[in-house]
Amino acid sequence: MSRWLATLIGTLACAVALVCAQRLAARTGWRVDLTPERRSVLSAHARGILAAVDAPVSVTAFLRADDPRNRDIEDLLRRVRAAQPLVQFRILDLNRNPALAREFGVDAYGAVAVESDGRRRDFANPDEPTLMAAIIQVTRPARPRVYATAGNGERRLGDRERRNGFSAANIALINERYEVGELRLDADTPVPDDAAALILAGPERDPPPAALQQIDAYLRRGGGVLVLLDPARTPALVALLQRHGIIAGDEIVLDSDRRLFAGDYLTMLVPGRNPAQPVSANLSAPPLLSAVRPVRAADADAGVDLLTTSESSWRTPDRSVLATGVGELVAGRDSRGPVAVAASVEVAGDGPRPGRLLVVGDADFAANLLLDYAGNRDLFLNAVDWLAGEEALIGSRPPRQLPGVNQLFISAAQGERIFWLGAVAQPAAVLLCGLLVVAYRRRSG
Amino acid sequence: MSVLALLRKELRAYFASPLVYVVGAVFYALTGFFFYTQLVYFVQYGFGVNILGNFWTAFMAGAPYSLSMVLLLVVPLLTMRLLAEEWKLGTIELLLTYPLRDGAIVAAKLAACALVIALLLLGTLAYPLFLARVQPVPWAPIAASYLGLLLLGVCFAAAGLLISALTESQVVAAVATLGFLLLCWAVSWNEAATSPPPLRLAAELAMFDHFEPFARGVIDAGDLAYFAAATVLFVFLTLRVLEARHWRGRR
Repeated sequence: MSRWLATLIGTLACAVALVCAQRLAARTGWRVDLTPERRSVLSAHARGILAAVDAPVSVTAFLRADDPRNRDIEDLLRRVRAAQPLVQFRILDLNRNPALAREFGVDAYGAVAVESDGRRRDFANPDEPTLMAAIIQVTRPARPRVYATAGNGERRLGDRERRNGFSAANIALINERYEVGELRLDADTPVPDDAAALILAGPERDPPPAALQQIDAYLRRGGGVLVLLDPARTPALVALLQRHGIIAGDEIVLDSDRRLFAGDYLTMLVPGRNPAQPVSANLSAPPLLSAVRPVRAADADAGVDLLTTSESSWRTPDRSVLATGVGELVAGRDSRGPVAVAASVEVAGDGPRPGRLLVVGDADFAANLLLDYAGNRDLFLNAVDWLAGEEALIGSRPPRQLPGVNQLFISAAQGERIFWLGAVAQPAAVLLCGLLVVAYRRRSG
Repeated sequence: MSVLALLRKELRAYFASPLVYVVGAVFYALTGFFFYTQLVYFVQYGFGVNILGNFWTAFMAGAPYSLSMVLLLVVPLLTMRLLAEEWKLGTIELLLTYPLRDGAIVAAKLAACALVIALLLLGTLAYPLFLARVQPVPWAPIAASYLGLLLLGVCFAAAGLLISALTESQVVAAVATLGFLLLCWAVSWNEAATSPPPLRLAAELAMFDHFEPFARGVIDAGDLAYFAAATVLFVFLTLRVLEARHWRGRR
């Protein structure tokens, strides 16, 4: 046999052996998934919810035994059971348990039923937030009612419009077991006694004096009020807030460094969080606010500032920035930051507990466009939980893991630094090393 | 001379010449610029739309503006001299007289090139480290991406080594390696022009298709075995080329 033929046969044999080895390895199905969607630990929010469970909970999941996608659900259920032994689960194959499937009214894989003390909640393909929502709903039968005011140009909780609507916030409240209702306050319509909290979501104009009186009375009898303010509006409402110890400035807050990269100056990450207040202490990330007005506690003994903008921010009375989205600090007219943009206060009154008032100098953060970004969902839900006295629900929720979605926010200054460091400084440093080496070698002959 | 001594000699040859610094500077300039532009794209156009999470995957594998594509461009420059220069200068004669098997010589050259590639990749960790200062970074899938990049780079280097063994011209070696790697990138592209069976075969052979799961954060046994097998095959073929040159009396 010639050498060429021997080499050819050897090469072919090697190639065939390697292809076979690769195919065998591929057939083992061994795979490690390191993507963030496959979490290995429960969030702090889920652990808080599970710690508050005080009755047995049974979870029945109808999954197909041989479907590898079901490993995630099983893994989640195991982690929940490990965190709270009162939660037990069983996984049933739909086709192998037709009687049970009929009993549960289930006819599709992925269906899950959560039961506790005769109450039941059904849903499909659970992730951590939906499972936690179901556990809350079956373990706490009473559903606190949250009212949102209407009639003064407020954002509507049922509105699905992408930029301004509040339908995502509405769903978030329902999932957190609240019942949500709309309320038009006037002299004859007080805030109902069953209201756990009242939301004023960015009113465009002042509520009538009678409505403001009803809000004031509700606060004094121990109610919780969340006010989301947009800039340059509602002076009478601002005066009411001031009487209770929260001052809302009439300026607009801008931040050139913490603004959203490639965005306008009005939309910014708010890095300063008060760790002593549960609402701001339990945010998964700095919130992202847009078109913000200053809000602070008048008296540090009575109230607290929750959120503060960065040192690079400033407050300006120039309202034209609301239209242009850009601005520049003008000495003498504008004031440098940091600026407080959210505050809370407890209002002493004649109720069994003090009223609670929480004001954020922005309503956009909880609208459909921004609710799922940065720490916005936590800020909105934690605020309602705190006002409603549902401290056990306050927490840092897992980021919303829509398929293929993560959040990515950088400021303009950070973006510039990335360019100069990555695309200029690093290659220049390598080139400089090369020049030094060449020079050294020439000198040393 | 031991394999380690040969490895040291190869590394010294890399770092004593300006080539590796120029290649490194070009590599970082391109990756740095692509990182920045991808970031701008994702932040600007991804805002409010559900496409943001794919940033790291796009930066690692989203040709043509990705780390893996820059690797494809620079590896031929690192491998072109490995054996072609030895043939050209006649130093292969001396090298093959060392008390080392051909396999050890090839392994030392490949390992030296792999170390340079690893060093280049190490420098790009600056990007996730920088973003980590801004917000939490998904380190686990990024680690999987880097494992994939290293395997891809070594596989590129093995292909470059084989082509460098076939010619005495470094330019020919670089251009041929670049062309071959580009073909490996494009082989599974044209779905419309190919019927399913050849397309499946092309997808099986395409290096980038096997790298893409790593870029998503998934480590699959089939992809690991693919890179191992492809690298071993290129090394095996390089050894056969050296052997053939022996017979043809070109030592």
